[in-house]
Amino acid sequence: MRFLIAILALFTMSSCSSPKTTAQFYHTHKYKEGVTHFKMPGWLVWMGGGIAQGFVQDPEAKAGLRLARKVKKLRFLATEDYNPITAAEVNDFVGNIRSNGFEDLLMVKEGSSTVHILSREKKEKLRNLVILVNDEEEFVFMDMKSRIKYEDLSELVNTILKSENMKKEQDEEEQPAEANEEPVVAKKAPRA
Amino acid sequence: MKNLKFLFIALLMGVVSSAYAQTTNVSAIDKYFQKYVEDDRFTVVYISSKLLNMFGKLDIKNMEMDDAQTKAIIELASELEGIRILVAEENAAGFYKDAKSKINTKEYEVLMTVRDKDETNVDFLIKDDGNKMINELLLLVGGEDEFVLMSFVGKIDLDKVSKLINEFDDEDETPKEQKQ
Repeated sequence: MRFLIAILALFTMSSCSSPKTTAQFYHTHKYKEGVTHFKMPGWLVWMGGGIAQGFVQDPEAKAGLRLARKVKKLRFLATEDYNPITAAEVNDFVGNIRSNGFEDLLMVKEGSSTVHILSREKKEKLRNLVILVNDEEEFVFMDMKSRIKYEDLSELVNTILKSENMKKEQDEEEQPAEANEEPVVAKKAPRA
Repeated sequence: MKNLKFLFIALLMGVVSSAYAQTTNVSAIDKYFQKYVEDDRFTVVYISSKLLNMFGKLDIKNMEMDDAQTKAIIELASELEGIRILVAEENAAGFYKDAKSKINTKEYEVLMTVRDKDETNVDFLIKDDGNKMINELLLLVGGEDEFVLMSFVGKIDLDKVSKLINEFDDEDETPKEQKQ
């Protein structure tokens, strides 16, 4: 019986050691020295995006704002010139959220710098997106909850490509017009 | 109490053996990648199937892309299941030999080998299903100063690869045509 309790205690202790969710990671580190933390509720992003849409004319910006309105929650941690969060803590956290349904999208590592982008989706919607940038001197953590669909991303990319094509066409129309204009030649004054 | 202990140990062994069974299906190249992914001597890039599948979920056919090269790249990328890149500048020759020893020659076929005067080795290897579809493209570079391992896993259609090459060739040819 004592043996069983000891084994159970070991398991529970190991599970308590590092944050298992993005919310836990945020709350664990937000008050550490040098850490800037920021949380934005979804209703604020939704309202701000809605108001900004009325003032913005650029189609790319409008498409971006439409997408931003589907963000439900945003949490942000950042440090500069000093990083109190160790690489081991970041790796443990990444391992924990992977076992909680998160999947790697991208991982880049160079020396002691790492970038992780992980996501969790449900019913073809991007439910969670986590971006982690870890360096000796800097740290960035972004946790986003959303209901963005892949069609929304496709629509945004399409809008950006359309506006780039229109700009190219406008530039091409302007260049032949300039080439067709006759060059201005300075006329000499007649001799007296 | 003794029965409970035996039951617990048996359960533990069951869990461990099932985890081991899953790992034995991982290829030697996967193990090589996993071995060095935490090593600070390496620069590592890993793009997962999830991100590449997102390209597949984008409405590529209806995208108004003027750039044919970008379209060809996206069409190819949407069929990939993963890209892994390992680069090291220390002990390049050692890592190259280690990687080559891990390759199972029954699984991988050598597409091309290049060896130059500076003793830089470049190997292109593929794993295919015999139907113009490549399941994995492996690039190994081993020189004095640099070791590179690039692995592209997925359904790499040779027709799409040649379409992409043609798009790049067309772009290179157009300046000459303009001069004429």
